[in-house]
Amino acid sequence: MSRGRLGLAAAAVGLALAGLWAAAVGPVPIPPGEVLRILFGGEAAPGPPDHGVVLWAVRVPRIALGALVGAALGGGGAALQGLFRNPLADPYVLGIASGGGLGAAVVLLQAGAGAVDPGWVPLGAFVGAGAAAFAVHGLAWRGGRLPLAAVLLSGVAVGLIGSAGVSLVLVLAEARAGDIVQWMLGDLGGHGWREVGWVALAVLPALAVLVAHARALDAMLLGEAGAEGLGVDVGRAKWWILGAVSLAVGGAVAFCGLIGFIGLIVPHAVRMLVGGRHRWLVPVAAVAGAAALVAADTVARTALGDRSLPVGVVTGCVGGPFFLILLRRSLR
Amino acid sequence: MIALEARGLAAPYGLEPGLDLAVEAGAVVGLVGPNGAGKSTLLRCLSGALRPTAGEVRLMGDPLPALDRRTRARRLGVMPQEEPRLEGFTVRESVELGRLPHLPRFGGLRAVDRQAVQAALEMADVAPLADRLTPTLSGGEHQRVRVARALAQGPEVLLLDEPEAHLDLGHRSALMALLVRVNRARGLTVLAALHALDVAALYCDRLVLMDRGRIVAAGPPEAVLTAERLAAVYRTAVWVEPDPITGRPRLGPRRDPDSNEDPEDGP
Repeated sequence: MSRGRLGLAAAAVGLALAGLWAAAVGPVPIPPGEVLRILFGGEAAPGPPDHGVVLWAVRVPRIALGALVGAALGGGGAALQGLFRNPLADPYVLGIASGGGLGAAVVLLQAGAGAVDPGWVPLGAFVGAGAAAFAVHGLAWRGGRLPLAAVLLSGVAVGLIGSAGVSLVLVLAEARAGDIVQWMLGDLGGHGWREVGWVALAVLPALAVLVAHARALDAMLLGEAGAEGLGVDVGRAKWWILGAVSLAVGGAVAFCGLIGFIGLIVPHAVRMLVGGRHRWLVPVAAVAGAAALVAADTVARTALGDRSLPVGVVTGCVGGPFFLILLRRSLR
Repeated sequence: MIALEARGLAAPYGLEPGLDLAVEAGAVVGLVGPNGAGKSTLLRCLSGALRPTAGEVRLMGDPLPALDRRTRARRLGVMPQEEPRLEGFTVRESVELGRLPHLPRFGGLRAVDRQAVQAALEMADVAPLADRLTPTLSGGEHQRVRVARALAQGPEVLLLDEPEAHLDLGHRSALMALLVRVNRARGLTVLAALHALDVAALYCDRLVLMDRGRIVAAGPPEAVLTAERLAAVYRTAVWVEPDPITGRPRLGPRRDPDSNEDPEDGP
C-alpha cells in the first residue's frame, strides 16, 4: 500500500471517528452504538427526547457542514502552500478568508437594508475571497519569485483591510452587529441541510479543480521557470488554482465565518504522512481537514458545558502557536 | 546539424541587437563571460522563457514559438540557476517530475516512464539516493538529481544556467564529468552557462564568450581563451597557458607582486 493510500485511509478513519464522537456528545448524549444504529436505518428508541430528530435535524447537518468547510480549508491550504511555495500559506494567514468575510459582510449589510436577498451572501464571499487572493499574489510576485516575507506581509495587509472593512460594516449595521460578530468568529451552528447543500456546491467542484491541478502544483514547487521548463502553463494554472481556492474558501466563509489555521496545520501534518506530491497531499489534506474541523467544533460545543464557543476560537488557540513554530523554522 | 540556432536576436536589458549563435548537435558548449554579460538572458531566450524583441530561435530547425509547451518541454530541457528543495519529495519523486510533459492528461506514470526515471537515476549516479528526501541532500547531490530529472525528460538539447556555481571542487568535477558522460552516451547536446573559466576550458568542446550583451568569440577553448581577449573582457590581467597533459588552456588572474593594491578593490 502506498504512502498516499495509507494516508487517505487514515484520514477517512479519523473523519469517521470524529463524526461519531460529534454525533454522540451534546446536551442530549446519544451512545455511539445507538448513533450507528439510527444512521444505518434502525429505529430510534422512543422519546422524548427523540434521538432520531436530534441526529438528523441538528447534529448530522452540522457535522456535514464542518466536514465540508474543513475540507475546503485543508485542501485549499495545501494548494496555497504549493502555489506560493510557502509553508506558512493558508487561507486565513493570506487574508483570503478575511476578504471573503468583507464580501459577505457587505452583502449582509445590503440585505439588512432590504436592498438584496441574503442568498447573495455566498457570491459576495466568493468575490471578496477572489479579490484578496489575486491581490496578495499580485503584491508579493517579483518577476517569477514569491519571497516568503513579501507573501506574508501582503497577506497581513490584505487581511487588515478586510477586517477593517468588516468593522466598518459592524458599525453601520448596529442592529445585527451581534449576529455578524458571532459569524465572524467562525461558527458552524444554526444551519440546516439547505446550507450544507450550498457549501457542497462550492467546495466539491473547487476541490476537484485543485486535484486536477496536482501535477501543475508539483511542478510549481520548482519555481516558475522550472515549471515552465516542464511544459506547465503557469499563468493559467494559477488562475484556476486561486479561483478554486477562492470558491472553496468563499463558500466556507459565507456560512461559517473566519476559521483560522486548519488550512495551515493540516497540510503540514499530512505532508509528513504522505509526502509532498499534491496528487495525494490535496485530497488527504481535505479529508484530514474535515476530520480536524469536526473534532474542533465538537470541542467548541462541549468544552464549556452548556455554553458553546465559536469554533474559530478553538482553532486559533491551537493554530496560533503552531504558526509561530513554523515561522521560527522558516526564518532560520 | 545545428541543434539550437539563434539569428538576429535582441532582448531588452541584456542582449545587443543582432546576436547570432549556432550550437552543433552533439556538442558540449560552454557559455562564459563576466557577470551581467547577458548569459542568463540569452539562455532564457533560447529556452523560450523570454520572448526576444527581434530575431528567432530554432530547435533542430523548428522555430521555437511554433512548438506547443509540452512538445517543447519534451525536446528541450532547462535547468535554471536555482531551485528550492522539494519538501516531502524523495529523490525518485523529484526525478519523476521530469516525465510530466510525457504523461497523458490524466493518469499516473506508465512502465515506460518508470524505466526512463530509473535509467536517469543510474546515469546521474544518484540511484542509491532514490529514497532519500530531497531536503537532506548536499548541494552537489542536489545538482546531480536535477540533471537526472532533465535526463528523465528525454530532451534533445539541455540548457543549464551556472550549474557548477557554489559547488566545491569534488562535486563540481563530478557534475561536469556527468554532463560530458551524458553527452557522449546519449548524444544529448549541452549548452551551459558556466561560472568558472577553468571548468569551461577543461570540459567543453566549444566555448562562447559574451561581454556586454554581445558574443565576443566562439570556437574551441584554446581559440577563445586568449590572454589578450580575457584581459579586455574581464578588465584585469590574466595568464593563459596550455595544460601539458590535456593541451587545454589553463588560466588565472595575474597579480602584480610589486603593487600593494588591494585585489578586492575595483578600478
